[in-house]
Amino acid sequence: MQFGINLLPKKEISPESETFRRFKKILGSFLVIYIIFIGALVGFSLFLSSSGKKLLREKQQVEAKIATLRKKESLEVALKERAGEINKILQQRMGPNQTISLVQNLVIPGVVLNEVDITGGKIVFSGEAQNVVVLADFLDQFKSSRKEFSWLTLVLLARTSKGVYNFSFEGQPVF
Amino acid sequence: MERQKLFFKKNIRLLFSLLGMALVFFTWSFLLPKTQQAFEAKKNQDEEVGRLGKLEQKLRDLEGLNEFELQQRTELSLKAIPSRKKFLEVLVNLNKLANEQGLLVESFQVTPGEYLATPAANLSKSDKLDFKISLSGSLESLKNFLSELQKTLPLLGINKIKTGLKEDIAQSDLILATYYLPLPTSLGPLETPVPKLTSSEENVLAVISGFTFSAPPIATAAAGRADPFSF
Repeated sequence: MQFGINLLPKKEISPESETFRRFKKILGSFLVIYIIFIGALVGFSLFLSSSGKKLLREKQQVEAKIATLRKKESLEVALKERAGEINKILQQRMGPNQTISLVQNLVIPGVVLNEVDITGGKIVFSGEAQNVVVLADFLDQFKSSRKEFSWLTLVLLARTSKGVYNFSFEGQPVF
Repeated sequence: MERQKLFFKKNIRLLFSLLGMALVFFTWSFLLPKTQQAFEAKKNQDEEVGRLGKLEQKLRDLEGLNEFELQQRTELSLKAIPSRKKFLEVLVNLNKLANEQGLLVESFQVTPGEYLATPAANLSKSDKLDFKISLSGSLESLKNFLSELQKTLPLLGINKIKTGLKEDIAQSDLILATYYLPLPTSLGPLETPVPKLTSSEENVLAVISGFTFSAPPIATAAAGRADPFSF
């Protein structure tokens, strides 16, 4: 039986060296990643710088064009302000001639209107009816005019010594 | 060379520690701030891109407007609501309208207030000026007057009507309001979008385009001689 005898000196690998070798590998990998990260950061900064300059140029061009159209912009702003106010005013305006017509249409022969007062959409009108029959016919008119008024109140009804009936109504016409 | 290798082998741990410390120092003093700056720069750039988008939209909106048509419509809106108090023109127009309808103007009262108001006065919103006018005539004439009044420019509000009727003659006291709104003094920042008219505002402009505008009275040159005794 033959045994091979190794006469070369054997290099002993200590456990400590093995750990240190692993540490060196990890550190080496970390350094590589670190350098790649720095490279990426530099590249990103350069990209941002060039795109920032391009963005600034484009913005300045657009701003210059807008500056030449300032007159148009001021006209549009003035128009928009006024259109809004005109809209509000037209909506607030009541229809006084329609209101007066409405009340006039209710007047029948024998009834005389003495006063019509229109304020803020509300109407107060007063007059006199010759006699009770005329008054009754006049009051009947209002039954058919319910759609024209959102509300209507008989504020005063009085008979004078001459047999004439004074009346006063208050209401809100609907347009 | 051997010495260096020996030195390196002997002090390897120390060298690695120094390298580690240098890396930490480099990261703390340079790399982290640079990274933060890069992210902030990216964030700012994104905001600038947004701003550029708004500016481009504004430019498109402005280029889409017809300047002539815009000028016409703005002039119409200025006729409807003037930029300054124009009570004389309103009085003249009311008198003319009343005469056309066969009504007699018995009296009028107005308190214009500050006559030479500076543009910097706090009039950012519309304000109004109240007129009190007394008319006499038939009820039909009054109705026609009120009807025509609502179709004239400048716009007039009718705040109150008090009519007393006696034998077909209407004695009326009216409180009317005329409006004014100063022109804008500033357009705001450049990125402010162009305001667009709503459909109801477009309709309103179409409605008032059919109204009658009475031009203000033109002062005529005085006639006659400066010295009545010269021949």
